[in-house]
Amino acid sequence: MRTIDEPRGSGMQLGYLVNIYPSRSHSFIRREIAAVEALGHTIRRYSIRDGGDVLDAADVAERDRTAVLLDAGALRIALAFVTAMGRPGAFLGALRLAVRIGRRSSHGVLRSLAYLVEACVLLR
Amino acid sequence: MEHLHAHFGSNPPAVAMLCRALGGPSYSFTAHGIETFDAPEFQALDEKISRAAFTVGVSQFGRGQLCRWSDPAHWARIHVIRCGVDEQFLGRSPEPVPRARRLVCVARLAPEKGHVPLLHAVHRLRETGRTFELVVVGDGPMRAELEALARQLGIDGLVRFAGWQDNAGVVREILSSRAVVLPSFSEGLPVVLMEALALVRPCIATQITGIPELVEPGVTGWLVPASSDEALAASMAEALDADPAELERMGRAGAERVAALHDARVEAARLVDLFAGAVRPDPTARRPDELRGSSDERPQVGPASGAMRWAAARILRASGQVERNRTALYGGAAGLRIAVFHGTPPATLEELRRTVEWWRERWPIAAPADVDELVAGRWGNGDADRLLVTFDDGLASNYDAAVWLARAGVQAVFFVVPTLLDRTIAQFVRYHQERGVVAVPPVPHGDVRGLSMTQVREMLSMGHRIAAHNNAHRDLGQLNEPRDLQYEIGEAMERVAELTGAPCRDFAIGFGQPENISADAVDFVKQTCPNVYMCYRGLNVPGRTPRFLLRHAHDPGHPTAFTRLCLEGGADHWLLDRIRNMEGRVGLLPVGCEFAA
Repeated sequence: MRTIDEPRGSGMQLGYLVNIYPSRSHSFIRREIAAVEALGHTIRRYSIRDGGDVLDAADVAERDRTAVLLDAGALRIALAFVTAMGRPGAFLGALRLAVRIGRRSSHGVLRSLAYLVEACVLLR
Repeated sequence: MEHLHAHFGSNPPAVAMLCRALGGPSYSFTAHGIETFDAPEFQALDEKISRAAFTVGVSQFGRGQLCRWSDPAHWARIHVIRCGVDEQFLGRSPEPVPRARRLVCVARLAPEKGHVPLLHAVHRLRETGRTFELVVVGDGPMRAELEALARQLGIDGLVRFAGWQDNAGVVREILSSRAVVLPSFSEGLPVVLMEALALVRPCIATQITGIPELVEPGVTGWLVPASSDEALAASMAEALDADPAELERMGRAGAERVAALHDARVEAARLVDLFAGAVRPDPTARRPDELRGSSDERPQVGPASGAMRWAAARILRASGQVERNRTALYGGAAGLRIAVFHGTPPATLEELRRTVEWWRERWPIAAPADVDELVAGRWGNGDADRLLVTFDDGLASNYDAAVWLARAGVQAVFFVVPTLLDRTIAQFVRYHQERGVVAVPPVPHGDVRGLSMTQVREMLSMGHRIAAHNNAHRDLGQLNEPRDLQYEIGEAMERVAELTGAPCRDFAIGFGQPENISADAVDFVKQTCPNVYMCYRGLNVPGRTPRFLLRHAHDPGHPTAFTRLCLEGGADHWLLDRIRNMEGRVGLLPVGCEFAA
């Protein structure tokens, strides 16, 4: 995961999660984040994947402030998993939920379990 | 992290939902395009909505789709927050519609964007003998195919494929065109339409999904049925033949609509309100001064700690602790008790009434001028405490409190954030942003308003005192530079003096704790202002308590019994360390009763 700015300032501590952020066609998300921060709240940006093509300087600046979940190395993922399993009840519940939505989905259970891994990384 | 917001309805909310199930923060998500609604059961949309704190659609149409795929029990938690454009588009002065016969289409070159009927429409127009240019901004999987089609139709001389442009490039292309055309088959609510209208260019778009909520035929542009190159050609012909003045009229109507519906700042403020509803702060983890944060909106104290406070109040009073505390802290002397309220929506106003009436049945009410006497060392040493009612921030809801107090014969002090007058929180933040200052909103709700100048003048004529609060509501504990202190304190005092036509004597320190005022700020405020107010409990007694006045912050979530206990002084000892801290820093209130009343 890239390092990101530690949140500072007053107001709520919020997180934003987007599939690919920043990206040229998602400038409205950048505006929303800027406007929420202008109201005194702190936002950590998370992108599930890397690779948004950016043309604008504002997007380039956003890229440096965004943590990419799938950038996490094997060690980090393992650590995240161990941490999440520290609460076995919650972990089993989440696992069951992941399998359930995976079964219904066209993507299948495997993809859904990948979401669970991303959720573990995010939780840390 | 207190809350996680995901964008798009696909995997981000799935990850957010699983993170929540693992014990992570509450979540919400904004669903955009129509693709979310194409396979809702595969996406587990119902599951995501039911577990989310709230869900957002970007148009009324989008909200309808979210309702369609979720249980009616959740519909109240599905909201419309529209995508916004920022000052790059909203703030600029309009440029006239060009005479040049040029139209522009800004979209990814993908099948669902409808470029194929667009090129056929261009072909139809050329058959009518019109000369014009269509600029196609964007790139994508269909580029080669579309370029080939243009050649095949013999219109490659009329169509310019411009590729992707940066923001400034897109703005340039839109401004040098008469209208923007977007022939999509499937969309959420395309941002380019908002951008075009904000730039005073009418739009030709398909009558699908949320688009008719923005593009109104004959008013802000043209609507055509999806995939009809005939209808598209007819609308494009009208746009090409129209008098630029007519196009400008439509563009202006569109710009007004965008400013009203799609201001990023306003929409963000509405979203923040929803976030605040999702985030339930643990009140015991926060300082009492912070508890006033959003007193305009919701109670701050949960039932459990409310019951504890109620019980504590009963026990302390029953055990005689109230009297013992007062003797220990103030030698049994009487003094000035100051209560501070923040926003006063109806529920808080009701508590204000009850509190004032309860006090008045027992003890005298103080007037603002009593503070001048106290600070000058001329405090009459009567045997009863007096209560002064004050208000911080200057939110619009204070006006009703001012009216009620005036009728009840009570004069209060209103500490206003001067730059919040006549502004909403969002406008206040922006005002300071333009001056390079990051303001701290007194309440985290962008559309909450400050008092108006007219209301303030009326309040003055009712006999209330208008006083100063931090100009940008920044934390004075963090500020040391003379320039910043002048901005926060000096300017605030000057503005209030200008407003009232008399020198300003009173300044309340924002957040009000000892750590919220630096040594430099103490020096500055001492030189500028006679009466300085902090914000934690205590009775102001000459020779015994700090020179900077103590106030009790009323919390709308506290049980009445606890509020009364605090005003009687039964809980002052809990904050004794703060009282002692400030004594050491600013000295004690002067003693001397030679002019005592």
